[in-house]
Amino acid sequence: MLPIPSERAQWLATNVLPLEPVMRRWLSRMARSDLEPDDLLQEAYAKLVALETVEHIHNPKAYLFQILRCLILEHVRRSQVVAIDAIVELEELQLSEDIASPERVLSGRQELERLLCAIERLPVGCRQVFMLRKLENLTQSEIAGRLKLAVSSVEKHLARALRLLFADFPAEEAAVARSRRRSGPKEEGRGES
Amino acid sequence: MASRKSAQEIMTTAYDWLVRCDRGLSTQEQAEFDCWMTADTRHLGAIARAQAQWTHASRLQIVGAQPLPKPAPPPAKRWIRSAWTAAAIFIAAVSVTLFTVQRYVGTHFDTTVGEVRRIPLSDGSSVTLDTNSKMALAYTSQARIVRLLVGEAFFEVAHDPSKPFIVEAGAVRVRAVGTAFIVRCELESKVQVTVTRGVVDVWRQGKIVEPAVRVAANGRVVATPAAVEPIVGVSEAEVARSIAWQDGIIDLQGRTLSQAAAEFNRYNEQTLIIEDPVLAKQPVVGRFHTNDPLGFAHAAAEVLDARVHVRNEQIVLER
Repeated sequence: MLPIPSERAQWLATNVLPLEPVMRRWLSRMARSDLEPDDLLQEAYAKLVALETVEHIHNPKAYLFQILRCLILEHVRRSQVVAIDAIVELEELQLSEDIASPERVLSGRQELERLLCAIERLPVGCRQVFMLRKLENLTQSEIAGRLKLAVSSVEKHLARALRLLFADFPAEEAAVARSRRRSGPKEEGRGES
Repeated sequence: MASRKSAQEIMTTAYDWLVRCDRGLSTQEQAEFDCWMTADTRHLGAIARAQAQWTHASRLQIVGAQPLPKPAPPPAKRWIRSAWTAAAIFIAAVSVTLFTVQRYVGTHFDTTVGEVRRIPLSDGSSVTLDTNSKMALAYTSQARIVRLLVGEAFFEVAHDPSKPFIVEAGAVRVRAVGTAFIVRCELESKVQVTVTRGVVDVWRQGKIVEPAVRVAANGRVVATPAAVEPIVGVSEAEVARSIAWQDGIIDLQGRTLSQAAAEFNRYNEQTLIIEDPVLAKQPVVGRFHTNDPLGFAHAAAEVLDARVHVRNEQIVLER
């Protein structure tokens, strides 16, 4: 049983996950040393999970931006010393060009392509376990049986795969963009079917 | 807060927990997890993010990437596991439209939508009834007759040459001759029989006595009101896919989106609807849990550039 209701997890995967790079770029440009983009994103996810419903959210990008803006304001208000420049920045906390332009956001499909490339680069054992779990839809114990591994090893491989595939998202994204420029046609073929 | 954890550290812990949740938590772990979740709002956020990524990765199923060499194909394994030395195994399926109400004696079994149930029988055989199915047993001293009234079933038959095991599906009869086979009845009184091992005899019960058609391993016939016709070129993988439902899996290899939706709808109260006729004809691949039409809808939407709308008991996929 996964902790978040599957409908909400699906919504987050479709609507929020692809926005991460652009939001992160914007957050890091805010350049406040005490505000980590990843901290803010985690808090934003927490808020999105806590919502009773997401039906009213027609523009997830604007909504996420609004949440992040509120979070930043909260942090600024809580901090003992409010730097003047922070206040100035807050005035400029509008939907910036980055966020407004749709082409800067990875589409779900592009993100799947990124993921496929990233999976290719996983260590062999890790990749095998991850693919059996996610592409073949085997359970962890079925994978353990198939590969003659302890269930705890399967678990470790999966957690590691997730870390390697997702935790370092911005770096991955840049690497994929580079590799795509180099070997575009090969990867295109993979996505179709 | 000197010991405040970084977002990356929290994410690492979140991945560990997510994977444990996926495997199933023990009572003690559940308590630890609840404790961790309430310790910091970022923990909830990190878990949500991890699960969104986990969910997203499942959508790769529908892309059908197969770069991984498999140590052993799962269907083969499944057969080894369930094969008995002296047993015949087959699946039979019947569509609802096939039957006029008929009288039968014996015992009745049924399953509700989404339920898959294994029923051991007195002679050592067993039946696994698929979703929304009904069957009646009519064991006599001469024969073991099973009437599949609605749905689909998987039979593991204890070998007994003195009492043939016969499945009745509408007008169609299938006799196990120490073998493994699948019977799937489709719309318009069509009955499809696929043999995985050994041979079976297929015939239609009517006013005129017909000669039975013998079907060998990896052979398939379709019985219509007009005739029993062999189908050429059925692969082993295709045969294996027909029984994936036993493990709670729908294998969609090469079906269209609308066929896939129909398959999911057999297992779920929540109905998957594809309104766009172009979208409906799109071929899809992938192995999905029978009880996860939403996961399938989102995966399909992502790849086919469609949108998912959930309203009440309906999941609508549209462009």
